[in-house]
Amino acid sequence: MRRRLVVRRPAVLHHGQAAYAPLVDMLTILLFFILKSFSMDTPIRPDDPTFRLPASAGREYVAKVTRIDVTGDAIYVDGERAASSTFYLEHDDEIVQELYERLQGTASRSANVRADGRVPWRLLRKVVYTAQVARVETLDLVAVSRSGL
Amino acid sequence: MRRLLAPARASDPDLRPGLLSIACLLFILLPCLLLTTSLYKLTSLPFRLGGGEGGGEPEVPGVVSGLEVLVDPDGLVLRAALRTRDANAGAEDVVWNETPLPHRDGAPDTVGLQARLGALRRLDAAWKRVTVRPDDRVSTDDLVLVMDALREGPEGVLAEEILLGDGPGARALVPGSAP
Repeated sequence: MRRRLVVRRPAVLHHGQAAYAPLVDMLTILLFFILKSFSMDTPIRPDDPTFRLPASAGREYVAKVTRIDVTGDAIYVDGERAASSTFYLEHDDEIVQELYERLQGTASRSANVRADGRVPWRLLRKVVYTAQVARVETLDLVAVSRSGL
Repeated sequence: MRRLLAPARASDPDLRPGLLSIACLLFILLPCLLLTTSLYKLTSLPFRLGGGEGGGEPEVPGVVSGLEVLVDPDGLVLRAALRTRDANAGAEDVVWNETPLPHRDGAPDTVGLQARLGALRRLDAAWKRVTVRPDDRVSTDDLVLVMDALREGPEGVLAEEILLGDGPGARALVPGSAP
């Protein structure tokens, strides 16, 4: 019988080492993904499950300023009900009087308008106009970022 | 020639303890982050309230003198005020060019809008402002969709400043008078 001259030596397999590297890779990718979409924003109006903010591709940070929430039912300033949405939708008043008075009492000259996605411009424009008449200088419309989880 | 003083072959260092410690750290970090993160990530869309129809301060001199997007429940209309190239024409001599963009699949045609704005950007790179004039019935969802489309297109930034004005026929909202 002919003997093989070159005998291939069996490779030494480090099973543990081979398994750790892809595991660490996978966890690192997961960590970066979660850090990228990390957010500590709390849901808006958790008491109202029907409230839904519009979605946006924007990524700008939301400043902590006066909050004006506009739902199909009411208008809130910093979480407190200020006026009825239904009333101002049905009437032609351009100024939301209650909102104007509340905004006059706040020191902040900036406000975030957090309107439900179904609220029509007819109501939103009155809110925005009232805020500007009440000398709110900076207004931002808040939306849910699509870059979130 | 064979080397007499060949360095002794060091055995491969065992990487397992190092990798295991990194894996352990990640296993602690990931659940902590998952527990503290919110599914909700908010973003803000800055805007200003614009004037009445055809209003607003003039933009920097260029071919495009002003841009407006009329939003109504049936579609969009892009109105571009283009300065005439007539030698005798003054700075105020503009021609309004209207492009209707009907809804696509029940939603505003943002792709068509961005394509038109991209063409206007190639025509004149100086314009920065667009006035959005929504109809009273337009929802905040559609408004945000249009504002998003105006801010950034596939070719880059489109409008740096967005003014919200009044829809056609609506009373002009010009802040200044207290109730």
